[in-house]
Amino acid sequence: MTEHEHDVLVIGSGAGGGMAAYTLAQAGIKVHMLEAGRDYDPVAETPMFSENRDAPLLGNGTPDKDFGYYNATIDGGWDIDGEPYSTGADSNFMWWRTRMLGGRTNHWARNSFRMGEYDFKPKTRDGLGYDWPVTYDEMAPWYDRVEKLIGVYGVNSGLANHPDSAPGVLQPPPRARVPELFAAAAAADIGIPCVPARRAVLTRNPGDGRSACFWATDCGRGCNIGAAFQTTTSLLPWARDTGQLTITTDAMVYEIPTGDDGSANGVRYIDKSTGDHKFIGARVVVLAASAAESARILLNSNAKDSGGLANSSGQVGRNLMDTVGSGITGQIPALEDRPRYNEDGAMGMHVYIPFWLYEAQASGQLDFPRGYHLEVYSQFSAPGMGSGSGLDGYGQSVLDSARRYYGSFIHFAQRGEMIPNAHCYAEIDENGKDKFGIPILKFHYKHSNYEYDQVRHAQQASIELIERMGGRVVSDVQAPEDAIAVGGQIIHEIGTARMGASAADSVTNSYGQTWDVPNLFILDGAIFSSKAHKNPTLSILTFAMRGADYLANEMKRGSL
Amino acid sequence: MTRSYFPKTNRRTTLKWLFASVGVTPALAACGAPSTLNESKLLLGTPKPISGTPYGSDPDMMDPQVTWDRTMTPQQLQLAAALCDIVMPGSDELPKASALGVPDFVDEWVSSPYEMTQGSRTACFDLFEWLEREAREMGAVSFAEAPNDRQKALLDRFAWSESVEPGLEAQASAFDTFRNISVSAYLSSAEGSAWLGYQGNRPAMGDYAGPTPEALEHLTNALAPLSLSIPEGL
Repeated sequence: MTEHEHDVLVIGSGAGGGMAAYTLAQAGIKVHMLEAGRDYDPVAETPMFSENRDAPLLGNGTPDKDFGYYNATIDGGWDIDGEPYSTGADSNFMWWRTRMLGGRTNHWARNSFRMGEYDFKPKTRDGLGYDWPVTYDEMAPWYDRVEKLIGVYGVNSGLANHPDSAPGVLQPPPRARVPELFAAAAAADIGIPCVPARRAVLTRNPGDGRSACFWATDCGRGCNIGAAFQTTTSLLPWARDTGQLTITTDAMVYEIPTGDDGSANGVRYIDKSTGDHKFIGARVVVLAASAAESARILLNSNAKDSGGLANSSGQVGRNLMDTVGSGITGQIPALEDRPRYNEDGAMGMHVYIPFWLYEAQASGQLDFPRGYHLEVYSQFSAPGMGSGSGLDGYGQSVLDSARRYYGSFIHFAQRGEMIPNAHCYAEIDENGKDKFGIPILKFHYKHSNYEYDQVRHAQQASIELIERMGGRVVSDVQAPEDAIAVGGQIIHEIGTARMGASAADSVTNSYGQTWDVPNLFILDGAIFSSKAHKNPTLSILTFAMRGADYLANEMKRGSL
Repeated sequence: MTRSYFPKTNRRTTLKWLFASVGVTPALAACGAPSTLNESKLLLGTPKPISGTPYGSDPDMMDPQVTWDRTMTPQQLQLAAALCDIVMPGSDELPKASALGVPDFVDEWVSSPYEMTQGSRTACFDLFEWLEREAREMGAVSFAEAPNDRQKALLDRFAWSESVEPGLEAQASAFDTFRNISVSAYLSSAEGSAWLGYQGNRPAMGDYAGPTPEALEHLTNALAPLSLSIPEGL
């Protein structure tokens, strides 16, 4: 066997890469991580407490920083200078990337919902899509371990397909705020559950250097006390502390070369600081560059004669899915001029509406398969750009109206499951290269009536909730085809190297180990077999921990 | 021109980058809706072209800086100040908008090198010219120096959504844009935010306090007419 400097190379430092590196390092395995973006120090760089008024344009989003000046997205966004992608005819797709250590975990919403028993066997239940090669029962202890490790607040609601965590795993959720209590009251009256949300935000001090939330500053900026989970304040420093993890940033990986025996023998990357092309070898490669970027690297490896690495099934790049998204906003007169108090709380959701219609669906009462949840957003938020919208006239009445309506709007955001279809995939665009000379991706994307019918149902449910609150809908209720978020816009893209029970129609086994190249693992959203309505990061972390644990054991046994 | 408004300075005041003087950034060369105005007949002068650069994808978040110059002419700035103060004239408990530097933010917004703000630039500048021309035709030296009742008489033709004079829809839309920009700036100021009642951005130890008894009582009373009640366990 060739002697390598490192046991395992991990490509990517976000949820999948961070958890894989941590798990392997804890097992005593030497890991080297390659991250395409720059180094990032959340302790020194997080603008905690900075005011909107102190940022250009009141901190409003711009093409430079889509989610605002202070958002912890560095050198990323829908469009990255010099790193284009293309779309096929009649396709629209938005590809979010974050080029920084920790990737998207620095700014994600921290919503952390487990997949349930129905979610792992979707085709068995309704004949659509593809089953996962694992059951929920197999995954439950891994979810427990991940939730305990990262810190997730919430409660066990006992609802169908919304699994409980083991006792002692969850942290106490924060109290609901007034608009959330109002929504929950209306929901209860019309038979819709509204329960504490689950988010990866600490509400108790874990004793590992991180601190419990102190109920201020937007989690999207990152969290320099480590309360809101991100790999840069947890998994990566913990893994480094073992002495087993080293990291190279500004390393743009573009190929995984293979030896004569077909095994991966390392990666090729471009050192962005010099432009040099470099090779680094290892016994095992773990790909966790994000779903589409991982597919791109595979398709750009051995592409000339095999259609891409680990692609004997032809499934690399296929089965691209994103969460089904839409939203309805209402204004609630009864919430006007309400007493002020500090409503920052944990910044994100304290409550949400999990999908509640599995029985109705099973009995044929719904015109769409699978489910969605409604995220509930309303609070006295920090003033910024847009605080002056929707007003009329001039004079003191303008400000009086702004104050009267402050905190009286509520938004219900649908987050639903998409059914995979043959029209949604990513491939190499033969006509395009990025500034590094790496062939780019072309995305093809098309929703079906499954998604449109689900959007229509979510719209009607949201309107019913708003009306039960005595409110009026203020957003434009568009046709589902127009209301639905563009593919990729919810930033939950997954599925481009799905796991399965057979090498014939999947790319990896249930551990993320590729069927074709046993020393190549994929441990990011690419391996998802379906796109449950649950936000994917918690499951990415969980499959990464389980896959890396398996990998560590296989390496110790000498089989890898 | 009588100059009654003087720009304020604060942390966000433009730092002129050494390379900012090259003028229009390439990304902006073709953006923005074209103005309908003839530049040679502008009553408020010709604004400076957009200069500076976008702040980029990796700005210093700990020390924010505006990376472009303000471009409004002194006459435009005076008009914007007068308009801000009509929208937000102040009261016993509130300063007027110009006292909080709101006109400077309007200038920052319409001068920014982003396509997303250039529609606002065109709309606001067209509105400013229209107001100036109408004010002068009414015998005023300028809109900024016109009597307050005459200023309001002009605004009354389009400022209220239910009584927009036919043919002035563009002015109504532009005024809505201007009002949004200026009111957003006002409410984002320390004074405006406090008046609005935002109480966040303050750390607190222990569990989140949640709604105050007063807030819960208000909620209870709001739910009662709807035959709803506060659910348990949240």
